[in-house]
Amino acid sequence: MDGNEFLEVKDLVVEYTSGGRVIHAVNGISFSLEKGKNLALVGETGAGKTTVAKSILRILPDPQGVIKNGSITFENQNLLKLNGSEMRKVRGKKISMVFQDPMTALNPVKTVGYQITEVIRKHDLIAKKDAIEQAKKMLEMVGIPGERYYEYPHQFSGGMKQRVVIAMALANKPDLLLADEPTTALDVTIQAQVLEMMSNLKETLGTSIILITHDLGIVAKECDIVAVVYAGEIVEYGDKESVFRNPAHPYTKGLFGAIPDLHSNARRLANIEGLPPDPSEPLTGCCFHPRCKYATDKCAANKPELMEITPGHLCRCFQSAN
Amino acid sequence: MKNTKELKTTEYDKKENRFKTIVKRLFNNKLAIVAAVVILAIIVIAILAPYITPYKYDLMDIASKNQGPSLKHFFGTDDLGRDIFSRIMYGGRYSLTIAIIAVLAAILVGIVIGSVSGFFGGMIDNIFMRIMDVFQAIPDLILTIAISAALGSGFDKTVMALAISRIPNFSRILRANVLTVRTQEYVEAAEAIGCSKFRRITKYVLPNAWTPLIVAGTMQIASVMLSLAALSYIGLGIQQPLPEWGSMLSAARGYIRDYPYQLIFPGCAIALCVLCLNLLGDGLRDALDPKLKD
Amino acid sequence: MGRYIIKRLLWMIPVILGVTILIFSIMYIVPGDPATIIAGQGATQQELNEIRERLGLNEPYLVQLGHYMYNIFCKFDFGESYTTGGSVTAELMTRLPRTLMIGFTAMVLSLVVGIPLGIIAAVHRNGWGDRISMIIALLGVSMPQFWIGLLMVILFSVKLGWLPAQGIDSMACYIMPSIALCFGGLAGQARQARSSMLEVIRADYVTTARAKGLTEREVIFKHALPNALMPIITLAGSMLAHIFGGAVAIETVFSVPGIGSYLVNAINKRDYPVIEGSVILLAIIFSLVMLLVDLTYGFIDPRIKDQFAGKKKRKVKERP
Repeated sequence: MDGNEFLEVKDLVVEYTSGGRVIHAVNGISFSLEKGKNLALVGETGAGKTTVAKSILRILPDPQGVIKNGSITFENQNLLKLNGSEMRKVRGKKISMVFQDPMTALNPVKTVGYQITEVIRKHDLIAKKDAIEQAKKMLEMVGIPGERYYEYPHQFSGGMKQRVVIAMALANKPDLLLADEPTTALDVTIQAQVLEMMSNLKETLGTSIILITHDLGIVAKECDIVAVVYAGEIVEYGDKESVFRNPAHPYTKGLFGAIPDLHSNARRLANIEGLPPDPSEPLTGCCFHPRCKYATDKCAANKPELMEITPGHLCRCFQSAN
Repeated sequence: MKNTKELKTTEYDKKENRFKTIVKRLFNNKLAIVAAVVILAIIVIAILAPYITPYKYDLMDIASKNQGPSLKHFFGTDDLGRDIFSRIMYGGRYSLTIAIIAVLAAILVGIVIGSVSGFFGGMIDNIFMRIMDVFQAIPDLILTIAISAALGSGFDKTVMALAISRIPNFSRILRANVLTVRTQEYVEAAEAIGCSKFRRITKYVLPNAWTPLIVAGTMQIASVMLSLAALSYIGLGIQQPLPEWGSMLSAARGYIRDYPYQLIFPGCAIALCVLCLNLLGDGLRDALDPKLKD
Repeated sequence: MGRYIIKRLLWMIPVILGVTILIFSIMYIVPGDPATIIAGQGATQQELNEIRERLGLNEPYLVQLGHYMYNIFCKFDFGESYTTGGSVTAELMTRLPRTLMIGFTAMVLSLVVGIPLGIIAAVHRNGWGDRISMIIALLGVSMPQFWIGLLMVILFSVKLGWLPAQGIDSMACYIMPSIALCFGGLAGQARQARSSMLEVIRADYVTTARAKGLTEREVIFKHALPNALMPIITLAGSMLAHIFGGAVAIETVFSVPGIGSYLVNAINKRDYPVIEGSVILLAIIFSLVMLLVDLTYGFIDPRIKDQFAGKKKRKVKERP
């Protein structure tokens, strides 16, 4: 797990307080990313993937979301130790984020062009005219005619809104893009378009992407490294080929098993029994053991560490060491 | 040590659960519960007033007129020697009853107009809504005053005036609800199997409408109480010797320099009722339609 | 945008006409004989008949309605008072500035103080400033406006002697009525602004704005605030209705000779032309103010502008 110093997340612990209850969203996540590579964070809703992304940018809801522990090192800076104005220099310029729901991610009362120009001029002292030109170019790059700069979000369809969001995120050519389920809210044909566009942009601009998704198909196509997240922990981690060919963790196996197979004659979809644990209650033992087919008493009592199965392929499971 | 939860899947369970959650959420809101208890207490006092007030509300004792608060008369006496404390306790009968009846009547008429308007749409909707626009172009209280001036003072006429002025509000709420629900697929499905318009309204639209109606109803009771006080103050509504709180304030106005205490208590009574109703309304709104309140 | 303004103006006309018809009809069906009111109890039958002829009281309903509307809209004549015989229009015009003064001041105060108060409370939520201002706001909406006026008179006139309690002899006389009138509206605006702001702050586009590296101040003022203003302005309408309606009682409390007290006095004396004239005039003013509110709303929300740039004739925003 030693990458170079592009991005390294270590022992991240994040909690939310809501109405007196404490929700353990992230329970010690560590991973690293090399420049130019793509990482996929895979998992069910509520596993903590979005929280990780928001923690990197430090835009957790305040005061409910608190980073309790850990470090996030990006290009040799510990992001968690930066003060307000230093962090603001990072956001939108070195690290950007694309959010899940394009319908609500854009300010309805400002033109789409303004919202792109805004992020350009925030980080660059250039004339307004030039910024507008740049923004229009970004729109063209994502496949939207430059004249539509002056239109409002409600005049765009969902897919186009998402493209605007992507244009906004990439306007300053960030080194790292956090894409939180960027295509989930879109229908399948638009999904393909948007993904392809992101791919091309990655090639052109050299941006690294952390892609949050629950869609394994997208992972296969776009990413180099996969981290499977469950109940706020990484349960499996490795490069794409290793994880896809040899899923080691029972949860990962379950995920792959749940993919419907057109060629089989199954009458029911395979699923993983049970539900994810309640994040407001602390767990003993392995976080997956209540749902696990292979669970033993050892799993219930002790918490497994991430163990290396093959070089670069890690798994958090006592059984997988075999 | 299984950590998974049982999924409740039956429809019956779901409905019950929803009600229980609402009640639970409401009970978590301590302010709203306190407010509700106070309102209940006021209602009980109002109902039992003839039996529990220390003096009859119209018992005049000229010798003791215009006395300040004392042990004999907790809130003092007015200019005819009547015990203010008793009159205040009595006054609740008028304010609460009138407000509740007026709002209920307005809700009923509003439901009819709103559902017909929303459901049938087109010309009918247009006409109804334009008429509502005309009514709403006149500020609430002024419209009430105009109708009240025409009808005269007195219990039932005041109820009517207040009810009429609130109808447009409830019609709009219902209509908005109808418009939302009407386009839902399950209503279209009902139409496809031959469900009559009336049944569609009663079975699908109205059950969904009760949420905003309850909240709006509570708030409107508060608003009507304020309007009633103002009406009585200017000489309409309920008049002396009936101990309506607004008219008590009107009578006390003349003594503002010499006996200002007479103005304090009726106003406090009104404010207390309205405050509790507002708190209750807020609590109901949060319980019935919570967004995460952190 | 110009089309939106024109459409809105045009829409106002049928409403005002409707209001006139409504008020006239309400007063028309009231039992009681205007002739007796004018002439007094001891009048002879002949005098009463004369009066009826002169005022056209024997004509059918529609004819009277037509006359009335013609007089109002073409000659700006609201008729003659039953009690004084004087021109209602003249009296209304004399009294109008006073009512406007109080009402306008109250409106401005409510907006200028109430909205920022609510927004600050939202931004610093759960701080002690938030809690205190919300408690005061809650009290403010719960107390009858005229009672607030009475309390102010007790405190500032009777006990402290700082301000005059009635009349309009000096500018100082306008202070208490305006403040008493604005209290409820201010409180309502503050509550509404707070809840509106809280909702908007939670929105995704606010998180997006933060993710772009904007300062918190930029996020609040450029992204949260414009969106929060929309529901606030929508509800400003009902607050204004409160102020207009409350002006009637407040004028009574402070003995301000404005339209409100004109109306109240007329009710006791059954002076119908005065009642009708006052109500209609107040409704006209109210509609004009609501028009301004709607236009402001149209300016802020680009979606509305779009709607009316097209062919839609219907009013989009429903009044609560």
